[in-house]
Amino acid sequence: MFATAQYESGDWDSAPMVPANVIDAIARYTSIPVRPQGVSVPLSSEVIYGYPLLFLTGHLPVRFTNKEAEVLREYLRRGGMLFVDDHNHDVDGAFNKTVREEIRRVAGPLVPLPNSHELYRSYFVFENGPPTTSHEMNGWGDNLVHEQLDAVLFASRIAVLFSTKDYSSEWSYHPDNKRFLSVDNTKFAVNIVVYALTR
Amino acid sequence: MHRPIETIGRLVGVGVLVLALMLSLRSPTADVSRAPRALSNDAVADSTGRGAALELSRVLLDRGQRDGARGADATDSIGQSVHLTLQRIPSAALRATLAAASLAGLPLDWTDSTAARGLAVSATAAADPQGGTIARARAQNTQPLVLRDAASTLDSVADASRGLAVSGARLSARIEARQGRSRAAVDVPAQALLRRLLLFARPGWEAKFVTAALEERGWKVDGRLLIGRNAFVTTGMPSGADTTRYAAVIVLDSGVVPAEPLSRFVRQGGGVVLGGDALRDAALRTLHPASPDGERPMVPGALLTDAPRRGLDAWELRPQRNAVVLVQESHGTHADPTVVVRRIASGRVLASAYRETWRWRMEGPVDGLEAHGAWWSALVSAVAFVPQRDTRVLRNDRPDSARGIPSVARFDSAIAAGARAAQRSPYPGDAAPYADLVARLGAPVALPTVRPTPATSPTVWWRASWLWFVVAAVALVTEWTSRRVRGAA
Amino acid sequence: MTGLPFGAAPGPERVPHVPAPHVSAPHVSAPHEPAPNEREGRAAMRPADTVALALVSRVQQLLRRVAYARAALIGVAAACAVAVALLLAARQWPDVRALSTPLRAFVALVAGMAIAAAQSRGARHITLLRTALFIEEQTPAGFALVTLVEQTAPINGGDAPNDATQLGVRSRQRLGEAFLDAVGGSVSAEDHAQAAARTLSRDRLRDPAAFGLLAIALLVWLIVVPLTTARTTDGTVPSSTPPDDTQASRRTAPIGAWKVRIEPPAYSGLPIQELGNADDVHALTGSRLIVLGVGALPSAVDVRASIDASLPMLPAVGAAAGGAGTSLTTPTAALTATADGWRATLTVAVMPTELRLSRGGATRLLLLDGYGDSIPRVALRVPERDSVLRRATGRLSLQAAIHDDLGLSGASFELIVSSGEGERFTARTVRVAATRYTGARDVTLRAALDLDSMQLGPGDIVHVRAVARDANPASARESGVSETRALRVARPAEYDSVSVEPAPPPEVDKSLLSQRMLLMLTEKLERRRPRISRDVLQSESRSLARDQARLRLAVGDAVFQRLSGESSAEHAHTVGDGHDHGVESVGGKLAMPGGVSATGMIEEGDDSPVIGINKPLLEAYNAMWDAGRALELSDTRGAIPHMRVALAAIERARAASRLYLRGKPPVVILDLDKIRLAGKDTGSTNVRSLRTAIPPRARAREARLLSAALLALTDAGAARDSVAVMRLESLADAPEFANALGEVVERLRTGGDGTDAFVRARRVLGGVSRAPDAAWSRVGPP
Repeated sequence: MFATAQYESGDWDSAPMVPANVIDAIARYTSIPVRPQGVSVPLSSEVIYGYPLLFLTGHLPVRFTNKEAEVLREYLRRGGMLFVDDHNHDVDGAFNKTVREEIRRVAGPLVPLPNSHELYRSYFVFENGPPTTSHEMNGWGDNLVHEQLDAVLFASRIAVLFSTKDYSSEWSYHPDNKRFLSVDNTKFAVNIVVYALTR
Repeated sequence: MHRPIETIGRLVGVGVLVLALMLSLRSPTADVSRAPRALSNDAVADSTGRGAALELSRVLLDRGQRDGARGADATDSIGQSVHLTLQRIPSAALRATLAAASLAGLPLDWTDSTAARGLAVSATAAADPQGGTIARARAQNTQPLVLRDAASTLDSVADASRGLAVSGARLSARIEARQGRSRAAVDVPAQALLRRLLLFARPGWEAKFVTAALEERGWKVDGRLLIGRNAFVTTGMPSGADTTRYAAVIVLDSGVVPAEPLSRFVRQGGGVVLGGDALRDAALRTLHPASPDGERPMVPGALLTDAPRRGLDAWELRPQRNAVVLVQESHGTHADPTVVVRRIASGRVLASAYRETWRWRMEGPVDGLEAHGAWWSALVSAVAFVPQRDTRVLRNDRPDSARGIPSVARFDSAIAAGARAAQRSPYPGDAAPYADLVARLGAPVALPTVRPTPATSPTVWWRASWLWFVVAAVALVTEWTSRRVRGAA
Repeated sequence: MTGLPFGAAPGPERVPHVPAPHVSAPHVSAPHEPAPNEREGRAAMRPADTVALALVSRVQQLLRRVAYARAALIGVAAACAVAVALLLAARQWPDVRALSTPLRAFVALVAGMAIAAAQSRGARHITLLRTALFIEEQTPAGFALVTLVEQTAPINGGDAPNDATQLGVRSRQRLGEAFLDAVGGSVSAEDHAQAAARTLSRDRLRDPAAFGLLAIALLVWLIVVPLTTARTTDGTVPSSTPPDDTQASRRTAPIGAWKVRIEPPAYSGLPIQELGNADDVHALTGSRLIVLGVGALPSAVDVRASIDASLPMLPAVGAAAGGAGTSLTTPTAALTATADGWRATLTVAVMPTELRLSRGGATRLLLLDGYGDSIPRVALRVPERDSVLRRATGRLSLQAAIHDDLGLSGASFELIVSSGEGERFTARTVRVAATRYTGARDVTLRAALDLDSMQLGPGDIVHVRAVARDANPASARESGVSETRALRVARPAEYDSVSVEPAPPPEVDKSLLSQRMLLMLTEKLERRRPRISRDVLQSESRSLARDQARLRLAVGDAVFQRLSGESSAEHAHTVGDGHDHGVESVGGKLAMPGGVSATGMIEEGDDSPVIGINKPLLEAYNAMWDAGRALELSDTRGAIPHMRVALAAIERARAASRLYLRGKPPVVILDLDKIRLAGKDTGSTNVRSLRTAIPPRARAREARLLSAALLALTDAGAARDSVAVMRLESLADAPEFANALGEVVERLRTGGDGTDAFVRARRVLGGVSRAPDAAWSRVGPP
């Protein structure tokens, strides 16, 4: 279904439980066929073409190698979608600054995604745009609540979705603990997957 | 004083020579006695028929004047009938005129001295949203055959008996088949009227990328993917399979569509594409052009080769008896069919053995995206329902500039004029002129046994302009030689 | 016939040798030493014949000068005429226009000289005999002079005199006297001859002089008034039309020749280019393009971008290739009137652009193919790879190779130093070895990094890359960057593993950072404890206990995974479960037989490496168990020491571990059947937006190509313009097709038959393919 992108620089595996949690959410709310465990693929390898949805996160500065940039550019051209989340939840953080530069180099500049975008209605309805994370509310990182996500659009299709809301922290727990939550905070992940799978 | 006179003399000599040459090369069409040669004018070049009708009038007048006793070299009166020896196929209008004369009571027969043997050409609109034309030509001999449109040669084969088919993204105005001196021509038809597609599949990358590929190629796709409990993601406005709304139905998984409505759709004339696991759907067995015998394993790494489809998982297909194999994979001595089609009533059903074709787009070679789209569009085109349209009403005769194609300043008016000129419709019989000729004048007859001898030819010596040319040339050469001789002396 | 001296002789005729006169004859000189037989004749000659012969000789010289003058005049006139013809032709045909001015002048000069040389050949035929005939024609003397000249020298071209025609000295003298008597004496003869020669020269030189003057005047006029009388509608040069009519015709005349000048941006250092009457321009983006024309202002000016908007990556491409003025908006052209005509200026954009100028009902195109100023290419040579430093001391060499197409303005090494771990990271950016350049294209940037001064601590990571800027002053100009190398300073706890490939934190680190976070949260709760209610304390403490339990299980998983290779977190590990894990579960804690102290701490000993690695993890596991139990009881104070023990143990475990499991996150395998559609919420039915069709570029191009092919039959110029525009648009995405179109343009430009080129372009485009001959009414897939 989707894969976590391994890149050379930085800590790509800073949120190791996110894939399992997203898979759990997909299985829990949809009939979309999924595999029972997540997959990690190196960004520099053409293997990523086999996973049309990629998740990329980290804390540290991100510098794509030339090979990574080349593969990712082709991946997006062919119809792949990249979901990037800033694990620092800090717009001034090293990850945010560097990964934005790299995305611009590979796919073009990020633009704010309006909260009326069909991404927020693709399965569950999020009237106010991207759901807020507890890390935002608790004042971690840049101490801001980010109202919008950013995206690079190819012919009105989201090619790169960029979040500074730290879903990596929000979703990085064992799926078994989901039963302790009054509201499942991974439902937005379902929207992202359904969007990638149908659009 | 010699020199100017000599110069003038030479100029006069050269002038006479040129005049003689022109006379000798002058077209003989104006010559009444040579009307049969005019009758065999190039069919395509003379499509207006005005000249041909005139020629027929002249034939008739000449016939009246000569009272049946004399004839041109190939025209004769046998009793009260007119006999034509045709060295080429007459133009469409002349064929019509001859047929009209025949129907009006003039007995006409003809002897076949043409080289043409049943040359025929056809053009049909491709069932493709991006337009396109399929042109086919065939002749009943083994001579070379050339297919061309107004702009250039399209293709040619050395042996016409095997036919020649060309698929053109955009062919200009008129398509012409040529073989020797024979011509056959048809108009490029208007673009096919295409309806929407209906997709049945489970959510997954295959459904996503097949829909995307078809939409990118200009098809309009309706579909409904069951995502969760009573929750769908719909594309377009899907409704029941019916040819009033849909050109084709695509089924990618088993158990996603009931058989009965699909069968009804096919009987209406609709097209069905079965791909992937739909071939295993027992409920659709009556529609299957081929049954899956087993799994054909993918060849690892083949996705990046020149034959990327070998890198896809596929079924081994066993075609039904009345099915046609469109695509097959050759493996040394044998070939495995991978795309099979069959007709059911007035509809068409196609089975594609490949599974997870989205990998071709994502994991294939650099052109995988385009090739995957072209592949799926072609699969649908092979079976899509195309309603008949009234070309007189729906014919799109707008010039290119009106379709949003950019052009430069002097471009527009010229193209509009060119488009109008190019859209003069050829006579319907031009698609198979020989057959048309036979249909209108009857089968050719053998050469009449009584023929005027060449000695009685009405050609008089002073009409032989080539003689003038020879005389003038000899005179000039003699004059020049004499000067040289004098100079030498 | 007065023209006799200049008439062409049928063959070469030898000039007779003239004996030296006895009297002073300054105009006559013997060209060489006379032959012996001539000497004999000269000794016997009398004054009368000598005088006559001298007269003939002088007249001959005069006539020859007239002939040479005439040839020179004709030559000059012809050269001017050729130059005028070239100037006029240049306005009509671009091929001629392409010739440079010196070349055109050279052609005219050569033509003039050739004609003059051909004309001067006639002077050789002015022999003494013909001169004598000329004189006798003016003053008849019974051919005495002709006979005298004829008999004085050989006339047959042989070396020896013709004895058969030689008379005696006496006879020659008599002939001379007879001539002088006939003309009335030597003086009179001289006068007559000179007057006749002057008349002749006037007649012969008048016409060439007039022709030459006319040609020179025309040439001067064309040069002095170069373009003000450019082509009118019919291409002729207006001469005597009234001023009002000229103005009107200029307003309505199509735009003729223009001059194109490219002024590259100042930073590039490139020279100004004068392109003359160009139809297409390949120029650096940001250059100033100036088009100078004559006549009235064009009635319309239009600038269009020749790009296909359907190219999906265009914004990125444009940004990458950008330079000064690299905005993707179509530039606008400024049109101004000048004293001589008009001037259009615009800035060359990054995308292919057409400048269309219209006047008199016709449009002329100028195609601009702007090429971007590429950003510098930077390669980091040293360090060659990522590495781990044991101690951040000493000097580290840095080296980068940098290249730019126009010139560099500066370069430096950029270091991003990130410190911290877990949830706390800081980063600072440092630039070193910043160097300025003034236009260098290839440089090697070197630096030695003083690690001591950077005050790097254990665990810090330095990301090094080289950054270079070129001289492009655009504000959004990108810098060229190299790949990034990461240098990590090892933590003391991992000194024994610094030789391994550096890696992001291994899986145990995840437990570490979470343990650190839990410890922090517990300490925070402990500080808040006096101010919060018991219920709140219990609630938050239990929440922490659950997280602590989760971490403990994760550590347990790691232990079992190492020991048994199993990875399931859901695998139940109990004593006597049939698995030999080398550990036992004793009252919730894990223990290795014989290795656990009474305090629960695991003693260090001479264990196997596997046990050595796992001992600290077991210790951490047990400490977590204790901490969790304390937290369950809301005893935050009691939990903190256990949590610290657990944290320290995890540190030790990582230090002991030689297995850096880079990129292998904890494996969680979900039981999908169990959770499938178990969620209480359900999604809604949604309509997916349609994907837009990709414009069929190839088909649109095919249509345009066919239209152009048909248009070429009637208007080759318009067809050429159309194909040229299409070529410009295709350069970016279909270079092969653009090349084929280039051939078409060239063929149409030179007036040749473009059919073959059209067919080739069509085949390259691939719009036509042979369909398989199958028994199916439709064409199947390819």
